[in-house]
Amino acid sequence: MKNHKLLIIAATVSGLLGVQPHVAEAAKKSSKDAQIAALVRRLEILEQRLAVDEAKEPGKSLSAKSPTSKLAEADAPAIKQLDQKVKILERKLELEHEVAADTAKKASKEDMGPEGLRLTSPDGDHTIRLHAALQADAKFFMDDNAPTTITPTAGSSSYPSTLPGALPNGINLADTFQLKQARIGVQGTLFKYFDFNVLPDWGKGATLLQYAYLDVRYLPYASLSIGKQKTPLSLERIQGDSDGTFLERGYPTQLASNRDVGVMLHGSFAKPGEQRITGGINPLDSRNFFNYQLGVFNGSGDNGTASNMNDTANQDNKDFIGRIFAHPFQKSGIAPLEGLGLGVAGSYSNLNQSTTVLNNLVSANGQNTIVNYSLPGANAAFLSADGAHYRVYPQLYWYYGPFGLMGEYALSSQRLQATKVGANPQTRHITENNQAWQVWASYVLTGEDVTFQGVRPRKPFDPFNGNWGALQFTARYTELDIDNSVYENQGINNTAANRFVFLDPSKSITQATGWALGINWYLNRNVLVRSDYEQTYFQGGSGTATNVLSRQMEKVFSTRFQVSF
Amino acid sequence: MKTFFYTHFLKLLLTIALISMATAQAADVNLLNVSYDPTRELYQEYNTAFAKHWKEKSGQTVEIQQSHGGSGKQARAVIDGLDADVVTLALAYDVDQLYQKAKLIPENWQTLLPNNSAPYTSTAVFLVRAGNPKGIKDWDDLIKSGVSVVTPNPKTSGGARWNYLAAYGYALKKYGSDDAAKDFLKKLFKNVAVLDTGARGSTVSFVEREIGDVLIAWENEAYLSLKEYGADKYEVIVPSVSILAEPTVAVVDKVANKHGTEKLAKEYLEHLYSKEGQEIAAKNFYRPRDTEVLAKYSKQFKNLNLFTIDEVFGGWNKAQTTHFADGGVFDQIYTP
Repeated sequence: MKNHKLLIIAATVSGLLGVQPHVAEAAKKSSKDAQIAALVRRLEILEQRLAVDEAKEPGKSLSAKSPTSKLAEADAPAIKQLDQKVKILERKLELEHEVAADTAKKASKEDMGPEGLRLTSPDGDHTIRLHAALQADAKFFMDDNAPTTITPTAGSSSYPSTLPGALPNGINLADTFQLKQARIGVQGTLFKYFDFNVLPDWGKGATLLQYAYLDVRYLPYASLSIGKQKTPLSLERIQGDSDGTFLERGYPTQLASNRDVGVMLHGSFAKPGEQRITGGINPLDSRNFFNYQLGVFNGSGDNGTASNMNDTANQDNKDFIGRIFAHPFQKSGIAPLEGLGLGVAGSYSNLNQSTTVLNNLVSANGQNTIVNYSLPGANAAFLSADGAHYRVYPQLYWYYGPFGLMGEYALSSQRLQATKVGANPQTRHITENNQAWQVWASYVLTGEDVTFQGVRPRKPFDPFNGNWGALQFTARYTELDIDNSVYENQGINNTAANRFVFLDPSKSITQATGWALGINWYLNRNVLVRSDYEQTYFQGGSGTATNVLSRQMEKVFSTRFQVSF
Repeated sequence: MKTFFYTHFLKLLLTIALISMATAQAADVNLLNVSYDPTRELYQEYNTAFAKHWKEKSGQTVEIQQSHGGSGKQARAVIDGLDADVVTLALAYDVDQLYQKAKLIPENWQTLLPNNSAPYTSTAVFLVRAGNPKGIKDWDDLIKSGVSVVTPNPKTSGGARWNYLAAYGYALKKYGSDDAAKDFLKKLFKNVAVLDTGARGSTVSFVEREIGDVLIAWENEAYLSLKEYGADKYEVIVPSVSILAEPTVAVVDKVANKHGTEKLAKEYLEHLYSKEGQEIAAKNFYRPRDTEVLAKYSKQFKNLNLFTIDEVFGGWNKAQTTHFADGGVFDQIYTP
């Protein structure tokens, strides 16, 4: 019976290996795996059938050799050969799998997806990610051909009888299309612990290096980032521009420095007994239970960013900036409060007649200059930051499901010095205490969760299949108060004539109050359309030095098409 | 009271001293030997003997760690940062990479120990199934029709390169020209059933998967197979001519200096040349350099004509470039 069995196996294997052309043709088309699996399966079936046959005919003996068994004996070498072929095929397959597994282990991992192109070394210690952002904006100013609000002159109860002929930035504001961001950057990790980020930006018609830093991340609770980076002050500034809620940030952000060159110690701690949240390259990452940043920077002033030309400091004094931020209810089980984040940031510097840190401030959405530290013409004076400058930034956000809320207050106190130009120069010092605050709320109408990292549409835009992405509704209230002491009227040569050596009240506002409504349409994780409408009311900032008026209300509708990954 | 205090104080001191000594004895010094696959058993035995020798000589307790893998892969691991105090690899070429690519050893490393820093040798032999059903006696039998050969891939295995060069050297000697040798190798590799990535893999193919009629193997690996899988199942056939495989050793100076183990590492390798080291090598089927030990084990190591890589191929670097580099002779004669 054994020979009989071998004969049938041999015949089957022979057939499968090439006797039947149509089978061979099919085998060619299929993979080697399938061939071997099929062979083995057929052999097993035949073996089982033979076992059944043997059971049915137990009396049959091999001693009386049938013609079939004789034939099988004659074919024994062929059977051995076939057996070898099967074994070789199996071993080759096994080796191919080994080689494939080994190659996969050694091969760099390429990942192309919503986060851009990422290359990762086999051991995961090295990664490089290519990322980019493009923001194409349009701003349309409404009712900007005449002042709509006329308020009494500061210190006076009378209204001007006629409208002034020219209001700075108050009339005929140009509707604009603007390429706000055009960034292509490279970030990554080298040798597991060394993150880097280099991000040039060609937006706004200029080339600016936005990021260029190295982050030594050996200890999660004490990492060190060195280079040009965001300063840890304003909460809304820390949020990525592409991840934000509005086209333009609110006023508290303008009292903070933007990006600066320096060194920052930072770290984060998980709630005791819990795992740290990791991933991503960002020294300001504050997703954990408790986070801190402590940095020393050149100092780029309120609303200032270190430009390419000024990436070096022009004085010894430095900006010391610190921030703590916590999620006190993280992993507490109290779902509505898990996404509550609270923090406070602050900075201190002591400047010595620095002019580079006095940056103009602009209206939130309109981005028109509303506080102007340049004093031309008759009011010309040498204006500088001279003395202590500190900022305080209490801040919070709360994200719960599709609902998001952020609030921030800013106080920037700066000692200023003004020296009159021309005959009889006099030097004056004041302390300018500017304040700003904002609160905004958002709701994702399509139900997705919103976080500090933005909104991820559950289904990407594909209208023919009923998918429209995610839709978010937003509202904001923000205010800026400029210290009145900067509008001190010194007069000219101690006469009654007006002379403002710090800020000219006809060119700079004393207060701006804006509310905005917006809608964000996230087509997918990378493509977004934002639309905001904002109205801002001003006090001061228009008219003439002798007849100060309030700058006309700014009504602006702006929209943005954004691609980021 | 005073006596009581002093007695207990002394006991305490004695206890602390004993604990300190015990701790010190646990491991005074560590040594990492990065080696290749087939030496696992050899160094397990040698390490025990050397630790005893070092203790007697220096009073220090040494803990020796071993790391085994493909020879080329192990060399790369050391270059990439594996802190080996010593390397004991299959090929001089692999050891030389530690100088060429990372300057971890001096350029003249091969002159720092006797016999070109190769304390033992081996050669390529044949392992056939019991009864030698295909009647294999020499290299020519491997190119006969119907003979299924198992050998690893020379592109990935150090052992396979020895096998390849042994066959090439044989053909060159017998047929007199490179073209004839290439033709011989072409026929030989046509008979290869499976090209495993390493020597151990080939042994698995031949012994465990029952593939092929003959396995070209390191001599020590062939004898180990007999020992492990049964002398009644296989036979070792020694060809008339083969290559003198010289596995080489070296102290990884830069690492040893950093660890402060230079003397220990040097002694570890030098002791391989001692009577004790040579005995252990012979017991593990490596041919000892020491003539007395070799004579003692002469029954185990059959006589054959051995040629060196320098004689026939002009050294490892040349052999590597000519035969195993991309587009080299192996790529020309072998088509998967």
